[in-house]
Amino acid sequence: MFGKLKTFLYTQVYINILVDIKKTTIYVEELHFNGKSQNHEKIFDTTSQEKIYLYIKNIAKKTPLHYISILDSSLEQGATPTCSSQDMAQFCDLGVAKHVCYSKQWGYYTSKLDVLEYQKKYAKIGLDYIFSPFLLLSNFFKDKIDEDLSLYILVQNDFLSLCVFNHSELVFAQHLDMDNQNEFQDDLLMDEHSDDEDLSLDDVGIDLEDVNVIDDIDSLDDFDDIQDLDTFDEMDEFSEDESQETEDVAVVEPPLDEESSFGENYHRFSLIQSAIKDFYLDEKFASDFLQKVYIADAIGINDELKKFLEEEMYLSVVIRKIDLGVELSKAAKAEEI
Amino acid sequence: MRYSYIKPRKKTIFTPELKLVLTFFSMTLLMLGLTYGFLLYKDKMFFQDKMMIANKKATLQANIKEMQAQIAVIEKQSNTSAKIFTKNSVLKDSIKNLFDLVPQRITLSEAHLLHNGLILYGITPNKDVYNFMLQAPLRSIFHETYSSFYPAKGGWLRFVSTNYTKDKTDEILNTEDTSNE
Repeated sequence: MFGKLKTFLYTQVYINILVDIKKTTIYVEELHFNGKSQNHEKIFDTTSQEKIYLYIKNIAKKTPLHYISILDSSLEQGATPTCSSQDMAQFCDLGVAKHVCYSKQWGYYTSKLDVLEYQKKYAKIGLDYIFSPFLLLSNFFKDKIDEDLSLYILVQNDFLSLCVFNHSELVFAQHLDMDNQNEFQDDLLMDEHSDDEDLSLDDVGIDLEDVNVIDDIDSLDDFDDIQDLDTFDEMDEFSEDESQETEDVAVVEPPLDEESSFGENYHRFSLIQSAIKDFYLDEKFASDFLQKVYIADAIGINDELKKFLEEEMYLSVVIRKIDLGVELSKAAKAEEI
Repeated sequence: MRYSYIKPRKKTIFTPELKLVLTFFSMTLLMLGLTYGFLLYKDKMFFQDKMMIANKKATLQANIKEMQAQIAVIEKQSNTSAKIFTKNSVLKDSIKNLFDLVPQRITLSEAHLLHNGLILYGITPNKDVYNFMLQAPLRSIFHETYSSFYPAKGGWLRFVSTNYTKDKTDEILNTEDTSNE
């Protein structure tokens, strides 16, 4: 009753903060009593914190019913296939991690220090919710996680959040940082440079066959049992499903720098590949063979990543575009109820 | 469901603006309430005063009636006393007249003043002194005069003189009797 009175008197405003290295996106949803909602977003340079605070303060002072949410980007976060604190101890250090249980089936955690860091950083405006990307991912693919063993990936600018669900049960999860991207690109550039050098060296008669250009090829050997995959007919079915799924997928914005995009996508692919390798090799996880990948695309990736996954790992890939602001807002609204 | 790592801050609808408005309205309502209470109190007090004054008025009216009764009694007593005083004055005059009437040679030993008569006891040296000096004036005053004599020591006579005046009613009755005869 009192809650209804509150919402009758004031508009509810959900302010959602998405931070990456370069830009910070503030997605605002205003929910009126009659059920109508208005939303808008503004992008700031991540370095101009004062402008961000001022913008949020101006929105927040319109109504006392404002909820400020942020998406956790801690490097020390993850998800556990159990809610039992005893079993959880093998996945994270419970002394330094904050853990939340999801439907008593699985949970996700993050570093307590990072949570405190967030609260300290946004002390001027205050924070109401800190959500895990794993929560958003499972909510986003709610209609799919009850399927057979599949990989679910949330692709952000700086992070990749991977989950493996088997009939709604979490089997494996990893949160990967793209921060090594620069190093990776540097590596690529160095590789290109080394090619030049090789060419130059070629002139002086060095045997290039001795040079192993792509070391990661070895890691692909671990996927030899991909031959055990189902028949190609089944793969055709996947591709049909995929075509249906991709109807919902928004048009991916073309990357400005194709070389950079290629590098990023390849880096993402390699991170996914190593994560899948961890999944198969680590005895902690009751691993089975992955055949399908659902990607929640928050940044507008092009088909290269899909192509890599399909061609290199023989995975059936479904991409859905995700608006993290909207999903964060949904999570905040659900939280309030 | 709680899926966030932190708890949301407590949201209150009491913004500073709302607090100001609520304070204003509550103060206004409080003042109205106080005024209403004051008026109720004054009304009650006024009613009590009214009742008290009515009671006082009734008491005073009862007192006035009592006092009027007392005044009436006092007036009656006053009239009675005046009447008695007048009668006493008349009696005094009558007694004085009576003693003036009695000659020096006759001595009265007793006198009875009646409503319509006078009885005198005394000593006279002889009947003539009595008849000429006392009975003559008594006859002129009273309608009926009777005298009896008894011998006393030294040749003197004791006398009893009974004198009556006729009332007007008696006179009227007597006249009626004679007319009937």
